[in-house]
Amino acid sequence: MQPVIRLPRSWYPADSVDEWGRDAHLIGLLSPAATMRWDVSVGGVHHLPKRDGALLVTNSRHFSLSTIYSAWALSREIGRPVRFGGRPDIVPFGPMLQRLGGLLNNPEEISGALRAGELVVVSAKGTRDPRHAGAVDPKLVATAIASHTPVYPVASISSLFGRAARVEVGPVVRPRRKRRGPLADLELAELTQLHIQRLIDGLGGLHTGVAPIDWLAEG
Amino acid sequence: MAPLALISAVIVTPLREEILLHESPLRTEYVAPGHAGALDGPTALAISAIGTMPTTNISVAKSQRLGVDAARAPAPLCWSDTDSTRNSLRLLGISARLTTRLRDLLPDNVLNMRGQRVLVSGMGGELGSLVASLLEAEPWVGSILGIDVDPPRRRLRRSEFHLIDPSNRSRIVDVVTAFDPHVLVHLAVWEPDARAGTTLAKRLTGESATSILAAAAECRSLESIVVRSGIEIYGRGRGSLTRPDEDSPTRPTSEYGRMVADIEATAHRVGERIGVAVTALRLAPVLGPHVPSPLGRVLRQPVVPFSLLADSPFAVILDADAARAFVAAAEQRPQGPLNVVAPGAITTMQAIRRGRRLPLPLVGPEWRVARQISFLLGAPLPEHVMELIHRGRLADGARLLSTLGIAPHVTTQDVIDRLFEWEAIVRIPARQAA
Repeated sequence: MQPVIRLPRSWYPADSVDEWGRDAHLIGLLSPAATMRWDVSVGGVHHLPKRDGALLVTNSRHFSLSTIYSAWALSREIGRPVRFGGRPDIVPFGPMLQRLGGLLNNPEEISGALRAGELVVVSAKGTRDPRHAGAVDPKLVATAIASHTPVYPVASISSLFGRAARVEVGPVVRPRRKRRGPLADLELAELTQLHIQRLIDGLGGLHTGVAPIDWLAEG
Repeated sequence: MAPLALISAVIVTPLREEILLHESPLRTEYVAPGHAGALDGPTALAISAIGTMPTTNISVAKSQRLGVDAARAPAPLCWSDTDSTRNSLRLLGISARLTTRLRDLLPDNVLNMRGQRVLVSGMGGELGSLVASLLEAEPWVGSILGIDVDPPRRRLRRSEFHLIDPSNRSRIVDVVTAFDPHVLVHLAVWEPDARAGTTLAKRLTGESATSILAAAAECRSLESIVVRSGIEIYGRGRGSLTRPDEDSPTRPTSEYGRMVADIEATAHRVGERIGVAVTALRLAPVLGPHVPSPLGRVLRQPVVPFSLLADSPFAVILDADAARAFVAAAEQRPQGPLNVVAPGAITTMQAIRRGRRLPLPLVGPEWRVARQISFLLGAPLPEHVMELIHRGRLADGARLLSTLGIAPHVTTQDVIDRLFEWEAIVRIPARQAA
């Protein structure tokens, strides 16, 4: 069968969508634009598994899109796809965010991705204070327990106006006691929130040095 | 050479006997649409002209002759019913010790299951014909019987075929109970706008599921039911999972999805009632060189519409891979549903680009006009294909490998590439009667 038209095929490959709808080539094309908004430095990626799945829980300031830039930055750093939870299911935002690696914030969806050996970033409850970790949804953590995948705390800090952003991955969260029932979900969620808070506290601020007002206080 | 000859005599000779035993005057001789094969007269002319047998001709088809079927003997005893394997070896003068050795060399399941009777409903479809031809090559299969409203689309050597309308329940019961199958492979599922319009497809699918599954339930030897289903069963409503697995809830949102959900429900009810394993193979949209597929027809048009706002990914499956899954499921007989999905995914726009078609971006109300035009051009867009274009359709097929030990060979992208490479309809004139 003869082709009807001949389109230039080199600028955009026609097989760049993976089994979850993530388009690696589109992300590559949008990365320069994203860099104009966020200049992300990443740390602690040596904690992450090389091949297996893991649930990464990060703090989230309101309207900061921390899951998106964390997932992109981690993906660029470790060289494997990192997906993020929390895409809406409304046209055109849902399909667009799906192409960028988004998953629905449905525990079953997250669980399916973890079982498939994917790295998934989900956010804790949004806060107004960027240095405060919100509560972690036990239902999301339960997906990791059900699929026997580890949970990692991720601290993310970004400025509302500046480009500088930081993503720090902590060691795997290990519950103190083994629980058989739903208490395991609650305890793991609380422990994860605590680990994220510790990471945020350990990061320090985005801006270092002494502000003029501090100099007055020291005097 | 002598040991080889001995082994071949032991293994091949009983098989040959069995093949001869099951040869029937109703054996099919069809090869493809356009080849009239053993049929002649007005029916053959109709097949050669339109590719399939028209439903109006069913009542006068050869295998509908009541006298022939009434004269049929009851289902022959097979190796799984008797201990004829041991007797055959003894007759050949092979000692019990050597027999044990030979049994050790061959897989257990092959020896234990040898001579199984398999009923394939929907044998006239491309997938049914393909499954039947693969089953014929299986060592564990003794005899194969097929039922459909269309004749098989390829040459089948050992299969016996009956052309029966699904509404003719008493006749189906007679044929099925006389055959007394061990395994039922139920492929009599009409995808809307593939071989029949939505209304007719729904009627034929519903009647087939009811009559064939009910008839199979009357068979004493029945051990397993394998039914064709589809990943349309999961539905694509708001908030539905991107990549559902077999444990995900089923909320069909299209007519085809509801049809396959009904088939699964019927099969499970029958399975629970008579205590046999029911396997539902949930296929992604099936594409193949001769498979009548509404999705394939739309994608092969010169101008292909796609949703500008939601170019969602979907997965497909090659007919050969789907057929292999059915054969493996019929042999291993697992319980529960299994997704059969080719690895990888593709969006409509990417498929259009791979086929070098002209993309037609649409946003909303103009889809109604596009559907009408596409219908007039011979590529109707049924509800489930519209859903696929707008919302995508993916599924997790990992359990197929862990349960049946097989995985689709051809990726979604390759299937789409092949779709554009397949020849359009090749008309071959009917063979002239001598």
